[in-house]
Amino acid sequence: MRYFARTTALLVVAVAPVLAYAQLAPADAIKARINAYRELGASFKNLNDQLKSGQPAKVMLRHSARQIQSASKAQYGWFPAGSGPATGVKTKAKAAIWSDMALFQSLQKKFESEAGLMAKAVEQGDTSFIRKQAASLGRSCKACHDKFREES
Amino acid sequence: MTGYDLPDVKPVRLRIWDAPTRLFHWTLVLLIAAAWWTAEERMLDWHRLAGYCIAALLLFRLIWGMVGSETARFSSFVHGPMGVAAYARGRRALSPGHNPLGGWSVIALLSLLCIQLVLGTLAVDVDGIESGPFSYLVDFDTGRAAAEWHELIFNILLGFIALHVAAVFFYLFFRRENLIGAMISGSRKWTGDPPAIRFAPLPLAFAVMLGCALLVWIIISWWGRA
Repeated sequence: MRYFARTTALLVVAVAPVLAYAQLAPADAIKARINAYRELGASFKNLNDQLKSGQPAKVMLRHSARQIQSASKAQYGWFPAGSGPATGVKTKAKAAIWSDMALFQSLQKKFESEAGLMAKAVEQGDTSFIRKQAASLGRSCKACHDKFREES
Repeated sequence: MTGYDLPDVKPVRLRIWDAPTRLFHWTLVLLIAAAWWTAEERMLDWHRLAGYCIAALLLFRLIWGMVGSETARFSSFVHGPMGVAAYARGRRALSPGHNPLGGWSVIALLSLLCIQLVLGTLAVDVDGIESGPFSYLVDFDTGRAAAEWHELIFNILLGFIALHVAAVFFYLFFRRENLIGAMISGSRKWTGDPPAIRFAPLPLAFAVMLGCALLVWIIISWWGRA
């Protein structure tokens, strides 16, 4: 009995998030996506604020770069089918994301690789190179937004 | 209308606006257009520069409103509600410069611009890439809120500018008073005894403007991060 309870509990803990994600209503998916991107924007602001100061604090750069990198890996799950503008929920995600998934994913991959290079640059510690990489990373954001995000 | 003009009184040209006030006005028009255009085109480096120029100009105008020529001084054209009401009911303007209603339109435009400048310095874009020089002092959400208010205030500002332009054309077509020409040439048509208007010396305007530009430059380059 005890064994059964434990197994059940373990199973629930392991499966619940998967189920919860699968059952995410479009409105929730959009809300979660907006929140995730807000956090990403906040991380990039922190990184850029450091780079604009005369002496960037490495611990801050590292922290922000890590957050950005984990977002770049998580973003593949942020656009489940049916979470586009057709839902009627307010979103700036264009329908083209799902109709031109190949291009969208290539731009997502570009962001992931730029975020990886950013984390490496931070570890390396050359501020002027980090600045260059931050600009390059920013361009990878913009490249996707220009195509797939509604103008605000 | 012209009902009070006596037939034997010839209108004279009366100098009402000094050069600094006129230069302020038209430079501000150009800079607001430039700020709008550079924001639309996402040329944020230029947009920030336009903002700094507007800040220096605005600071100049606020000081000029206290030490400048008589018609530029706030004390000469800001009237209380009674004065405005009396004017709106059709009493003739007391002063040759801004009338009591126009005075408040000046105050409204200058106040909106002040708010707009503060919001702009704190604003951050949605990607956390472009930002105002003091956005490093606030967190991302505050910076985003500032950016949204920056946009809202701009639209309100546009409304007030439209009102201002409409009023100027109302005076041109219905009151036969050319306020645009006066803001260009500095003088207007005047019937009756011309009042004596005190004008501030030009070098003072130069000194004040230089000081304002210097102050803005020091604040931005010492404490700002853009």
